[in-house]
Amino acid sequence: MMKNLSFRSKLLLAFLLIGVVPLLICTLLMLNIFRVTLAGNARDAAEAELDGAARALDALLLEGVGVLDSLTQDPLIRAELGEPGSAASQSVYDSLYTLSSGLRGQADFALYSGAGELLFTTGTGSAAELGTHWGLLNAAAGGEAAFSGSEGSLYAARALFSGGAPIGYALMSLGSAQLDELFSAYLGTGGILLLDPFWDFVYRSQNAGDEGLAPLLRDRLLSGQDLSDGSGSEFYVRESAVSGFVLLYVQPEPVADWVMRLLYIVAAGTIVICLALCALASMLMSRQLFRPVRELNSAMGAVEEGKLDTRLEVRSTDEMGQLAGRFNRMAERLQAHLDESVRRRQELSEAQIRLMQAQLNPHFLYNTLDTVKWMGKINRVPEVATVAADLADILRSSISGDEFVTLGQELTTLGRYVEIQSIRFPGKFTLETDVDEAAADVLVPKLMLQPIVENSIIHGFAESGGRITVTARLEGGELEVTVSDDGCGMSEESLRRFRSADAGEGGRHHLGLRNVDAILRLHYGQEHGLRITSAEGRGTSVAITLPARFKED
Amino acid sequence: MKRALALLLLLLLPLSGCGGGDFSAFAPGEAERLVIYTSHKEEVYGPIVKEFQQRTGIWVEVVTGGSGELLERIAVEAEAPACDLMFGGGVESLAAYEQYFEPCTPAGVEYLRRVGRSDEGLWTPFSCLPLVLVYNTRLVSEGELTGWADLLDPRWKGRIAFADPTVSGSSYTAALTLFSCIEGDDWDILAALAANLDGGALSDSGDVVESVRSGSRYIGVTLEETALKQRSPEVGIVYPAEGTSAVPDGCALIKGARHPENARAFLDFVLGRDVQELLVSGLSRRSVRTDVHAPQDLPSEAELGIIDYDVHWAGGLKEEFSARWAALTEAAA
Repeated sequence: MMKNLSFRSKLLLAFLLIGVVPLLICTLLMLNIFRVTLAGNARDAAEAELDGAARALDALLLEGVGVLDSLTQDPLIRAELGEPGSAASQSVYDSLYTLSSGLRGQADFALYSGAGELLFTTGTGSAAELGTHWGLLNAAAGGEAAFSGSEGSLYAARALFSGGAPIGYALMSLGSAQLDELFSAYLGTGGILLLDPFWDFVYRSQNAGDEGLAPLLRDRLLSGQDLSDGSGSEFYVRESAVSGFVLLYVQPEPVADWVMRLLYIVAAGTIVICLALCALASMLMSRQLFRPVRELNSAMGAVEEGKLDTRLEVRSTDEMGQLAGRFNRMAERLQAHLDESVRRRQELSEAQIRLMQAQLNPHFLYNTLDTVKWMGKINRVPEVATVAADLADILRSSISGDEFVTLGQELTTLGRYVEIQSIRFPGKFTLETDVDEAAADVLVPKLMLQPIVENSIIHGFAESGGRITVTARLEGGELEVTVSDDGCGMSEESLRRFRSADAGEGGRHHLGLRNVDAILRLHYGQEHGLRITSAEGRGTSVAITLPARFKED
Repeated sequence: MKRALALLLLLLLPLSGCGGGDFSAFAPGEAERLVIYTSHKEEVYGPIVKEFQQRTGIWVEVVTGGSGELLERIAVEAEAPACDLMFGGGVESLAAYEQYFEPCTPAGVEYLRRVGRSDEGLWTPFSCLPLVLVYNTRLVSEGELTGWADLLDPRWKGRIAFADPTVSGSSYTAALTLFSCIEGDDWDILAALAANLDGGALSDSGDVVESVRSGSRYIGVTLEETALKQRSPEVGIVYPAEGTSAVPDGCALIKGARHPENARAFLDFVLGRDVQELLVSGLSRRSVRTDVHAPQDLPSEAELGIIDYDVHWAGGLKEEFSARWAALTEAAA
């Protein structure tokens, strides 16, 4: 999978992996830590507020019940309720206000008759009549302090008994305004909901949801659901120890939706920017790397198609620069090599053409020489016959298709040639051969020795006679052939002219030697040319060294 | 590797559920629960339920709805009843679903009136709702309207506020009361009534008093409770001279209920004096107890001349009635 991707895609993937993944993980972690911490703080705050509110309510109710107790035990009030009109109303009010002074403003107190009629009150909101067989007063008739809540208010009542039957009731009421004030210090960021022991609505502060919330919470409680299901708010509950009423702290979601949304948007934006940067950087990098590679690629393609003069521009010294330099050198070498091989082929062709020109019409020559031989024999001129026969042999050898002959055959041909030259220049020179028997079977290029000997006869013995010695030794797989004479030798100048590669005007003098040299070098390599040692007046020695090859049978 | 990945995922998961904790400690046990279905309005069941909870410590779950809808629900849930007690609904509707009820005898049964009682105790009346006639005191002089016969009097043709009896239960009861109080063939009486309404039956029984008060109708038929609640100087109440029907609404224990003891306790409570007195004093209804009397300014039960109304007869007639009424109103239209 990875292998099939282009280099650029791999680079992009790597950049993304390194650049985006850690950022993504980090962002998500931070957001969650933020949320969890905030939620934890909010929970602690809510618990603290709720504890405070529950303590305040219980303290107020406890004190209120204490006031109710003292009201029910006050002799003046007992007397007035037991027998209405027995005390002056001012003195009853005096007792009422005095006993409830501790809670002035925080709660209202009222006295009801045994039939449930309102007699005295410190507030204004008390009902004029309450059923004694129903609700709060009925509950209070049981003897204990009774609590009841409705329509935003909380009530506590206590009955006055005389002879086992209630003769009146003392009642404390906490209106909405008073409850607001009581809980105002504990609202925090949320709201407080006061429910009766059966979770029916009594009072709610600001921020405590709408009026549908209390029935909803009661339904959830009874059906065993989580209270905070889906509403976004969290709920915390305390039971009032004195009244059995339930206080609920309603806390809206600690992190507002829009804050969270903003955070997510910022995080997403950061990641998008990072993505763009990664893509940009990977593209630049890959372009920088990719351009030289592409150039090298196309240059190689050009070389493949034969354009060996293609060269790369070396821009830098880094690995890509070194690669370009190496490519250039390689192309140069390749071109030089090709030029060399073309030149060599041309040379070979020229030599062959010259050879072919030389063997023009050989059969005619051969037949003519045969005729001359017989004419020599008929006319008793044996030299003519010998010359003609030798020339014919040389000619036959030269026109045969074999490029290589054994050294023995070569020496035979050389003998023919020397015989002719002896007739031409009688007494001028002698030929001596000293050849190992094993060396006679080694294959050598045809007509290899004749031009060398000819060179000695024509140049070496131009003025005087002499002796030509041909030696051949086979040693260590190599054949060493030496042709030496004791003639006048070669001048320094003509030696230099021969050795210079330039086969120009001056080369014409030693055309035969040059050809042999060329043939040897072509067949056996550059180092197998003629080795000429010569000193003026002391003769010339030409040496040839060849790898020994034998005729395959 | 896999474990590390799981840990990472755990860290990345949006953490939630760190809220207020366990509230189940506040929820009541099964023995302290009661589920009632009620067709009463909140003003009726609210104080009763509240007082019941305070006195007994039993948590009441109230499901409200129309009586037909709730009874149908009870029938559907017969295999595994969610409801313990049906509170409300005319006894003739309860009679139609009596196979789903459990017979019971409430405490103080000797104080209950006979009217509308089930012979087997399958349901128990809760309050009496006599039918009355109302009239606009500006358009009709006192004494002009006397009884059921006026509904057939051409003098009031097109001026009678009468709810569609195929829709309104009280209106159906009124039509059948008419059959009982007036001599003659039932269906002739129905045809005469339809003709006298002149196609002007109201679609909602709640509109009767208002249409009489506003003067768009001269006279009307409604429940005493409704008339008393919407009492105004423009609306006069006439108790029909022929007597009237007072079909009670009732309550019934559901067969196979999950909290039968609590349901019985509730039944005893609502039939007790405290609740029955509240009916009269606070809810403009009449008690089903013989020892709880109507307020001084209203005629006593004996003076009303309550006729014998057979709920089974009323139930059996319903289908034919609806068909005939539809035919009559189509003919008028």
